[in-house]
Amino acid sequence: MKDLSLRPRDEFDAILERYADMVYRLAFARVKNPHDAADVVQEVFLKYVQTAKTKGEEFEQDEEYRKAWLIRTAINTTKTFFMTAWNRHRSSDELSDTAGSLDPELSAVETKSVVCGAVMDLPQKYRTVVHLFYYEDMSVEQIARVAGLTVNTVKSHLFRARNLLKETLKGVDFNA
Amino acid sequence: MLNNADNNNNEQFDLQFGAAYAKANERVSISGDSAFMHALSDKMRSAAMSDDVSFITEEIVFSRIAGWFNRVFSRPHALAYTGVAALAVIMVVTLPIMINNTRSDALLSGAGAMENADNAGVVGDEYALAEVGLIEPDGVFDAEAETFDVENSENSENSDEDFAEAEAPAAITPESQQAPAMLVGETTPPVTVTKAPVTEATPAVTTSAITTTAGEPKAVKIVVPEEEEPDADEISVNDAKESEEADYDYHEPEDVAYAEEDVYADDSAEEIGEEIISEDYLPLLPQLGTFGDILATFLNSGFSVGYRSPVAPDTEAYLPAGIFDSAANAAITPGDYMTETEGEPLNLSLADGNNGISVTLTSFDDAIVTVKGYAGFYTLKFPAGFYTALKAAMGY
Repeated sequence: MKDLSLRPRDEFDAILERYADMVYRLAFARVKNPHDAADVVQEVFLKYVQTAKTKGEEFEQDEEYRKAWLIRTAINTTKTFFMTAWNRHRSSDELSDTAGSLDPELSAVETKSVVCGAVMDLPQKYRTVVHLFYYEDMSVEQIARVAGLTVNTVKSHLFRARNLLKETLKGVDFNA
Repeated sequence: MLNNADNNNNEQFDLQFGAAYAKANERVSISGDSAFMHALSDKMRSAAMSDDVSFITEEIVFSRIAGWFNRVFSRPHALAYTGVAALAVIMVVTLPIMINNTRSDALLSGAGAMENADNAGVVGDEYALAEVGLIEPDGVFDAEAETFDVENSENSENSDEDFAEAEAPAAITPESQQAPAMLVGETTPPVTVTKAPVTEATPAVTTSAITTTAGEPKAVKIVVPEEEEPDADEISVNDAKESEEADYDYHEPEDVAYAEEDVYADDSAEEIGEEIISEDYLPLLPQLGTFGDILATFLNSGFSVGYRSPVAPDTEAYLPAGIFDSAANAAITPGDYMTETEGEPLNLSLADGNNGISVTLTSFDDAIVTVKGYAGFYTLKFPAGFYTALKAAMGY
C-alpha cells in the first residue's frame, strides 16, 4: 500500500478531500448502506473526471457549480442503483426498514444515532431533501435545482418530512 | 426534551434537528478510509488519461463483496433471493444435461418401441400370409383351422393335441436323433429323414437338409457331421516334410515353361508377325479352303516366316519361302482344332512329307499361332482378324 504522504497532492486529491464525504453522506442517506454508498462515491467521482474533460473550466470557475454537479450526479447514480434488479426487490421492504439496516456504528443508543435513525425511517424522497436542507444547508431553490424538483415539491417534502421527524423524535433531547 | 408546545415552531425544530443531524453525520465519513481514497484517486488519474477505465478497483471489489455478504446474511429476504438465484443457476446449468439425457432415453425407448412394432408387424404379416396359405409361420399351425391360432402356439396342451390328431409321421429312424422343427400342413409333401452319421469326435452342425419321400408331413433338422479340421499345433513334423518334398518334386517341364514365357514375352514376335502377312491377304482367306490349305498356301506364298527357336531363343531365323512344296503335299491331320472356345489348344498338324517338315499348331488365338516344327517351336504372328476369317473359311 502506497503511503499517501509520499504522493504529491494534486487536483484529484483536493477534490476528493473536499467532496468525498459530502457525496458519501448523501449516498448513504439514500441507499442506507455504507458499501453501496462507497460504490456510489467512486462512480460519481469517476464520472466527474470524464465530465471534467469537457466542463473543466466551468468546474474551475464556479465551485458551487461543481458541488451542485456532484450532488446531482450522486442522486442520479443512486437512482440507477435503485433500478438494479437486486435493489428493486429489496427497496420496497428492506430499504424502508431503516432501523434494522443502519450501520452498526450508527445504531448506538445515543441521540445522534437516534436522529440518523429517524431520518433513515423517512421515505427516500424525503431523506434526500432533509439531508440537503439540514446538513448541506442548501436552500429550497438549490435543492430544487440539484434534485430536479420544483420548489413547491421540495417545500412539500420538507413539510411532510418535518412532521414525520417531529412525530418520530417526540421526547428526544437534542441537547443530550 | 423537545417540547410539544414548540412543535409548531418549525424554525426552532430546524435549528435543533439540524445541529443534531449534522453531528450525527460527522461519523458518516469515507475520507477516513485511506485505502479507498487512495485507490479512487489513482483511478481518477487513470480515468483522466484514458477513456477506457474500469470503475472497479480492488478496494471497491472488496467493499462490494463485503456489502454483499452484509446484505445477504443480515436480511432473510436477501438470503432467500440468493438461494433462489443459486438454484436458478444450477438449474440452468444442469437442465440442458438432464434434457439431453432424457431425450437420449426417450430415443432409446422409441427405438425399442419401433423395433417391437416392426416385430409385431412381421408377426402380423406372417399371420396374414399364413391365412392365405402362402407361408407357414413359425410355431404350431393347426392344419384344420382356417386361421392361425395364436393361443395354440402358446398352449402346449393344444399343441400336443394337434400333433396327436395329425397322421402318424413318417418313421424317423432312431439313428436320426433329430427333433422336429415345425409341423407343416397336409398339403406339404411328406418328408423323411436322412441319417447323418455323427461321431463323438466331430461336432454336429445343424443344417436344413431335407429329403422328401412318401409319408406324413414332417420337417426335421438334419445334423450333418463336419470334418474336424486338425489343429495347427497337431501337425506333425513328418507332415511338414511330406509337404516340402511334394513342393520340391513338382516342377514344370522346361520345354513348356520357356515356350510361354520367352517366346510370348518377346516384342520382336509382333514385328515378325507383321512381316508374315499383310491385311491385303485377309480377304483371300475365306476362299482358300481348309485350314490346312490356308496354312500351306500361307507358308508357300513367299512371305517370310519369322520364328524363334525355343532351343536358342536369342536367335532369329526365317522359314524359307516355299518350304512346303504345295498345299496338296501338305498332309493335314485335323485334330480337335477350331474349338469354339478360344484359347483351347489346336491340334492341327501340317506336314510336308517331301521335305520332312512338320508344323503343328498347338495354340491359337486371335493373333498368334504357335507352330511346332521339326526344329522346334515357331511363333507365327498373324494380324488381328485372321482367326475370325479363318473360322469363317473353315465353315465355323
